[in-house]
Amino acid sequence: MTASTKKPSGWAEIVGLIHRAPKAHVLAVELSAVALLATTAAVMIAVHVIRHRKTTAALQDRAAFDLLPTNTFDPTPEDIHRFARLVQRTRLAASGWTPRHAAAVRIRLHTVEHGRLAYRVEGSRRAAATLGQQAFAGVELRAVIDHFSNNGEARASPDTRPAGPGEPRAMEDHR
Amino acid sequence: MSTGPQPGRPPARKSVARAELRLALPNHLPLREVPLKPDPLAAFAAAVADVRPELGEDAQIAIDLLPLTPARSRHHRKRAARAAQQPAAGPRSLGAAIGAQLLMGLQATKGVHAVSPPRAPRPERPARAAAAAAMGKYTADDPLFSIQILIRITSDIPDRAQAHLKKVLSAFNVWDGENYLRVVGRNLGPWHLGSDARTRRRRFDRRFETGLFDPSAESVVTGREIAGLLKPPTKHCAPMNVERSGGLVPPAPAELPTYTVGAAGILPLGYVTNADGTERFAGAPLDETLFSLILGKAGFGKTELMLTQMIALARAGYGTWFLDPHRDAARRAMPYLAAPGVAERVLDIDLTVRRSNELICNWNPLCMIGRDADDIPDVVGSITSAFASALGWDSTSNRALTILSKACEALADLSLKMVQRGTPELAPTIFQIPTLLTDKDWREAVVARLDEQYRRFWIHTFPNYPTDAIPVVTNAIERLSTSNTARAFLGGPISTYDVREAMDTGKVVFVCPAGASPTDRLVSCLLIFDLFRAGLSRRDQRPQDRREFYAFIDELTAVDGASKGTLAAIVEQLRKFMVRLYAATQMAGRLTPATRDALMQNKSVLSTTASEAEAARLVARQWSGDVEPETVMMLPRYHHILSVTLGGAATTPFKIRGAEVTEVFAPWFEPEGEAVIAQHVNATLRRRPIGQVLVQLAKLDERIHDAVGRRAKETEREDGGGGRKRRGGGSAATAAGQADAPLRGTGAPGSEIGGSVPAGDPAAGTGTPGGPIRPPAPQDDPGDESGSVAE
Repeated sequence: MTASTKKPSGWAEIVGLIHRAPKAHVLAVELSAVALLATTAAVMIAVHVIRHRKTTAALQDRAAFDLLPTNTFDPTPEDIHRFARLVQRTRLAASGWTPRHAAAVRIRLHTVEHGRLAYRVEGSRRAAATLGQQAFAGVELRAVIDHFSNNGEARASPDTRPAGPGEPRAMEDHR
Repeated sequence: MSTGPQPGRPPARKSVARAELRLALPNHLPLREVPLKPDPLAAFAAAVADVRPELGEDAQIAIDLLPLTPARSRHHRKRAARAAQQPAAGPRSLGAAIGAQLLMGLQATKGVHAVSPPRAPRPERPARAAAAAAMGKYTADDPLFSIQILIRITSDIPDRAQAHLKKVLSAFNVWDGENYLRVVGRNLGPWHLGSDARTRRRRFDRRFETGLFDPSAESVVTGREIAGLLKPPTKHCAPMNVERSGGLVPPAPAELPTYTVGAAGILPLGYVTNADGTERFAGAPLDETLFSLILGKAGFGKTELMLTQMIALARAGYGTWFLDPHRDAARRAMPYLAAPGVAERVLDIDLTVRRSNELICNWNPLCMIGRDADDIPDVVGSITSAFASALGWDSTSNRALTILSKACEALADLSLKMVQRGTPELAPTIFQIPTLLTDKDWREAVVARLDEQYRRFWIHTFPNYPTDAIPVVTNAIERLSTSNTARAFLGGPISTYDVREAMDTGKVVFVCPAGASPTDRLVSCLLIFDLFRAGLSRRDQRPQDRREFYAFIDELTAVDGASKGTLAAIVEQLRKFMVRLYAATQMAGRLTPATRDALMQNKSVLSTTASEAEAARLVARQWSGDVEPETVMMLPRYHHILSVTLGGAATTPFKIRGAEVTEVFAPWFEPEGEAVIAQHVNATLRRRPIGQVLVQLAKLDERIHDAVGRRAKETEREDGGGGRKRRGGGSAATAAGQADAPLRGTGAPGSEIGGSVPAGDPAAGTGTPGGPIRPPAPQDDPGDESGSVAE
């Protein structure tokens, strides 16, 4: 009795106890450990799958805005700070639903016709209301339509999108 | 960063260069704080200036910013504080350690202290300053972002993508400070294993294409550090290859109605952009659009906008009148107007025809069928205004204007008498004006038939004019008569086109001069001022009986000319008579001030495409600074800025994208529309071959002379041989008495009227049904049928 109440003082004793324990007890412990591991793994896989799905879904539903500055656009540091805060608020606007991997705001500098550099802001659709605010005086904010469709093919290049509002379309020469 | 064919998205054979950037040193070390002047984005614009889309080249820089949560921000600030409290770290690499030892040994051999000398005690900092220093770049008022920078350049030409990439990477060097951005990857001797490596491409492209935020290493930056990237290019961005707005224009009013094809009561305008970036086809309430003025350069969409509006109104049942030089617009519109109920209403006045066997309608401005003596001043006024505008006669041309007015007056009176006596086929045309002025016998015979009030000028005043006063008038008409088309159109005594009837019966009129030559301009002016005259003649109708009629006139400056204030007065009055003028002009500055003021005062819609500086300033003044003149000057093609009347008040100006007729009215397209309409027009306008009309015109002087001369001879016989003398210079009382005697046609009896439509013409035997004015069919001398007139 005294031996059975004595606490094991090291790994060697634990191993000795297990070795001396009845086989049924050993099996129960092993099964419990395996079940615990399996449950943990299942939970982790489920979390990963859910997060992956939510990330993929969020990335397929994005909004974009072209920011077209006028020739006289001259922002102050305060204007830029406010825009930075606005970008920061997009995370809050989409919190709870948008996974971290899909919550970034993208500033895209890209070339359009004749090698002109264009400036575009993209983000989660849930943050579109925030991104679509007129942050700068002297900048025309132009929403980009269908930039992000369900078809991944249409998402790669801003130049593959249909002509957006305000953009000249090819018209017949007879005009 | 090797280039090569891509496995997925980028098309094969394209050369693609990729790079990902991250902070090179620990996050708490700041990048250089880059000033905003000059704009840091200037380096990027310069780097991509050589990117040529026509070579399949494309450069994209994606800067992904993930705002850090408050907890994550606190974590980074604590780490920065811990890093600041730790003693200076030893050498970070084996080479640096060896170097330090060598330096110490060297100092020892030189008798210097082998160990570092004791440093001077650092001054005690205030606690707050120490804390701030410990925070490094993480200040409380600056937002923190985790950043991922991806660059992808594509090109059809090998090596160009790499060259562009190097330029773009160098643009990031302006941020090099205590910390800097470096390309993600490993250097293996001469090779770089970066984002272009086969094992990394797929992950890079997925992040690039989807916006997935998954950087290779966490890089944290503050808003202040990347301020140069958190705004579009400013005015301090020197390179010109920056996509800029043409200028700011207020958004379209939300209450602006949406036009749907076929809707009545709405005038289509074009596509406006909603707040969410979608487009809708906006319109203006028709009952509030009494007068529309479109300004702007040629080829920028004015005509297309007017054509769209004309088709929409015509299909909705309204009467329209469209002046279309060259006939391009009419050809485009016909296929959309061929539906039953519309095609029958089309009147196509095609003056681009030239050959003697081609069909043409007739319009005699001096035709008095359906009119009376009270209409003569209006007829004379419209003709003289047209001549003055087309020929630029101003106040210095008083004599010419007087002669022309009196000539028109005399011929209109003669025409009225011909109609009253049942011989409208002998009504004089404007080609009888030179005859009246230069043929003394003919003039004397005609003047003898006029009312006294018209005769006095010819008896007492005209003979005193010097002979050189006449050619000023006759030259213009002689020039007009060099065109067979103009002669045939204006040389028929009986009009088959009557704009007043078109107004009252909702016709769809196309007036298509051949071009913009002086002759064409004169014809256009005659037609336009006739339209104005007809509009003003609606004063004889009750207001509720006046049917809306929409006149579209391009290039209003040609009509304004030198007739000072005439156009202004007409514009002000026409709206009362339900004739709504939708006018366009390239150069508003060329309009006379009176006309310009009247147009601006009465406009319901003011629209402009891109225009030159003076016109842009003019229109911007109308909008009280809501739009800058530079914005107007930089408008792209087929875009308009306009204001409309909504709820009784003018809206703020807004921008539209012009619509294409082919796109908007595609459901109405009938490929054979022009042929279908031509059949109806032949019947409605009773068109005849040009050659036939010209043969008739060639004998008209003689036949008029015979008609008035025979009567004179009869009178002479009755009076015992004194008639001829009196006709030349006799008393007014005698002549007036002669005028009361009935005239008799000599060329053709009244029973022959209507027999002029050529065989095979579907118009044969038909007339204009139900109209208030029913001119008899043009007379045709049977003897003329055999004659052919060379073109």
